[in-house]
Amino acid sequence: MQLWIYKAAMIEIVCNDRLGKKVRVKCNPDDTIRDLKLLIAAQTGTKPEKIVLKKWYTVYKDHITLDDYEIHDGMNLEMYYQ
Amino acid sequence: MMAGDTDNGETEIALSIEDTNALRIKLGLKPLTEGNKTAKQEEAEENYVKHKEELAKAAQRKALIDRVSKETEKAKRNRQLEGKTLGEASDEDDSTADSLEWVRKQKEREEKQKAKAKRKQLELAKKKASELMEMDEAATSSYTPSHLKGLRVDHSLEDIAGGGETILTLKDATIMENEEEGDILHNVNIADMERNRKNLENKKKKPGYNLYDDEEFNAPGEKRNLLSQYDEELDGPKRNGFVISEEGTVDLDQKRKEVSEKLRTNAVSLSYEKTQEIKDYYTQEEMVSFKKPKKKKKVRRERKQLDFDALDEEAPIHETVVRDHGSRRRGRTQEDDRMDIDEVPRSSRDAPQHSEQMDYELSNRNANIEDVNFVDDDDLQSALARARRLQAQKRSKSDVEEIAKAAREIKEDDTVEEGAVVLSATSEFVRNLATAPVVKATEPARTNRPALPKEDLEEEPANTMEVDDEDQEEKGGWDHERERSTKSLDSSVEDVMEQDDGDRLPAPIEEEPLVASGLAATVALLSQKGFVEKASAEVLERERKQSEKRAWLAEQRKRDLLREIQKEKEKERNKERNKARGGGDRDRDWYREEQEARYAERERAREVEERFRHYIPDVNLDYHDEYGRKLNAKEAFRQLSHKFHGKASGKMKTEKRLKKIEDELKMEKMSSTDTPLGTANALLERTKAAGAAHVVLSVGNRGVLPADVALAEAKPAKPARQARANVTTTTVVDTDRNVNTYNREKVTFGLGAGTSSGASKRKQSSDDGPVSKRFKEEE
Repeated sequence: MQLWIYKAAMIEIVCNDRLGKKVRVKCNPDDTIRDLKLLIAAQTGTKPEKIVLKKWYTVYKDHITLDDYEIHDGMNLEMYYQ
Repeated sequence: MMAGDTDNGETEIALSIEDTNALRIKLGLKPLTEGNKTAKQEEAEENYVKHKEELAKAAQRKALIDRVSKETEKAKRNRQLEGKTLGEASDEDDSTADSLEWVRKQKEREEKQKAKAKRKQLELAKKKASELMEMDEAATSSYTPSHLKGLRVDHSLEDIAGGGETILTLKDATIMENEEEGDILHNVNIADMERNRKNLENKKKKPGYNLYDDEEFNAPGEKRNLLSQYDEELDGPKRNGFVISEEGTVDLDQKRKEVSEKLRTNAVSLSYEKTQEIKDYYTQEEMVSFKKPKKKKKVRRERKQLDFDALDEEAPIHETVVRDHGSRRRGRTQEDDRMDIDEVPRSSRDAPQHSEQMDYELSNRNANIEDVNFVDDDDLQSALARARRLQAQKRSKSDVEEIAKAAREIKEDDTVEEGAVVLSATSEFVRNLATAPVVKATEPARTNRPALPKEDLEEEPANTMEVDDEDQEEKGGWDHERERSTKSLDSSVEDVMEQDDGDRLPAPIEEEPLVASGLAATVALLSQKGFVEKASAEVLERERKQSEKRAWLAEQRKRDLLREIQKEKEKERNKERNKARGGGDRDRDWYREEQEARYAERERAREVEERFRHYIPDVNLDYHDEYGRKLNAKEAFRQLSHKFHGKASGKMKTEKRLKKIEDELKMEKMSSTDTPLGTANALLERTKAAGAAHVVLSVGNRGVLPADVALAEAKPAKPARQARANVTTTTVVDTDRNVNTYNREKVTFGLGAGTSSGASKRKQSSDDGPVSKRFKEEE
């Protein structure tokens, strides 16, 4: 018996660079990291290529989906600039 | 786009769904999937709900069960309180006043309850009994006595047969034991009893051997072993069980029969013949039972028989002689035989040669001894033979050859070669006998002659040569030696005389050279007495080197001088030449001078080189301490080390060293002829003064020196010092006097130096040195 439940398909992710920018982004779980970066870029006004998303020491790669990274609703991601 | 304040004051940028969707479209992404669930998600949700429901159901059921159990518990509890309580009862019938009635009622009720319980029990018992009956029937119907056939019972028959019924069970056994012995029946009670009996027996501590336990107390036909008390421990417990025979019965009589059988075989008849006559000797029948223990017969090697033809004639005698081994009975018979035979020669005495022949035969001298084996112990002999053989093998052929060679050599040595000198212990001894006294007698003064005349030196080798030549004749033993010694007496005397002092045999008393004859004699004396050490080879070598060096230095000095003179001369000559020339061209002059100077320089260098060719410096490093003592290597190193480190040894160590040095100095100063206190000298003086060879210290048992014995003329110059004089006393018994008077004299051999000093001064003329004084005394 499978017990996991999807409350909503859309998820909200918070990205914080701890320098004064904190973005709440709504996105689909099947979006790639690249898409997420585009959204963030649109909201913050930085170039998407400059954004690095991290959780601890894991640098998220562009071509992988949020679902695959097991990024769920309400999670916090670290944002850096390169 | 909206930006809202969060809790920590940061501005959070967020977009609404619509804005986001618009943005996504702009970016080329699909819009947000809002609330749309996939089939998987739906299933998951359903599952979740189902699971929740199930959980709830389970909880409900559990609650129900709990409630039911609670109820039943409660009911149980209530059931025990059956009947009416005291209050209820009293309420029911109003007979509280009649206590007797109440008691009766109570009793009734109790009886009722008891009867009920009894009935129940009876029912139960009946039920159980019927069950057991059924089981027994089931068991016995299939198990018959014939099944017991061959089963062993672990108890003796008496134990079981004793009383009524005995229940036997299968004995506990391990699988191994069961395999070995099969099923064994035993009764637990009897086994316990047996064990108890054994324990009691052990507690009694009966001694293993009972003197009065005769064989008659044993079971019939049984014999007790040696140390039978340990049989059980060694072989395990004795089993006295029996086996059930066919039809599950045991024959009780069987054992009884066996016992009676045994008893019957060993039966002794008690009837005896009263008229039997007593005999001194064993009867034939008794002889059979009485048997001498057989002697162990020695195993003998099968012996080669003698010449049978020859034996036949003398068979009876010879055989007895050879074969008789001392058995008494047999010996008797043989004796008889011999007696028979002896008669024959006696009757024919007139034929002596025949009797002689018989004697020989009797004495087995004629027997072929080579074949007769005299050896008793064949094993020993064979072992010895083997050992001998091995020994012979070991001694190899080469060994034998060597021995032969050695023997030959010895023979050869015995014959002295022509022209050889034979020296042996005997010859040496004889020669010394002849020469020794002559040497002393003839020329005593020549022994230590300091310098020998040259003619003598040249003569003597020739003489010795002669002696050797004359010794060539072959003669042995004493004669030869005597002759030799007499012949070469004169020459050998001289020979001995001329040999070096060191090589000569050391005479018991050596002659002392006269100092008066010269310095050489003095030196000889000193060296003889050990005052002057003889120069060792090393010292001589050093001296030689030093003298060489000195010579070299002198040579150098001489050369230097010569050169100086030469230089002077040259200078003068140059001056004259310059004058004569009158100061010509200066340049050429200078040039010539320069050349000459260079030449001279070269010349001098060569000279120096030449000079130093033979220069062998004699280097001897000596180290001296602050007192001027010569240091050895170790001490020198210490000194150097102390200097180097700027640190000397401590006070104690320094003191110790100084003490040692002091002692050494004392030792050096000590007289070699006298004790440190000069007692020998003092004694000498005293005896001279007294005119006797002894000095009397005390007479009899008086410890004091009497006045009349007199110190004679020897008056102490310094009485104060006499008291301190170190006196060693010895008691000497004068044999002239009566010993019984105990008139003894104590004679000293050592007196204080102080006492004698005055006397010696008076006696001695002051100009005499110690050495000359000694000579005077000896004269």
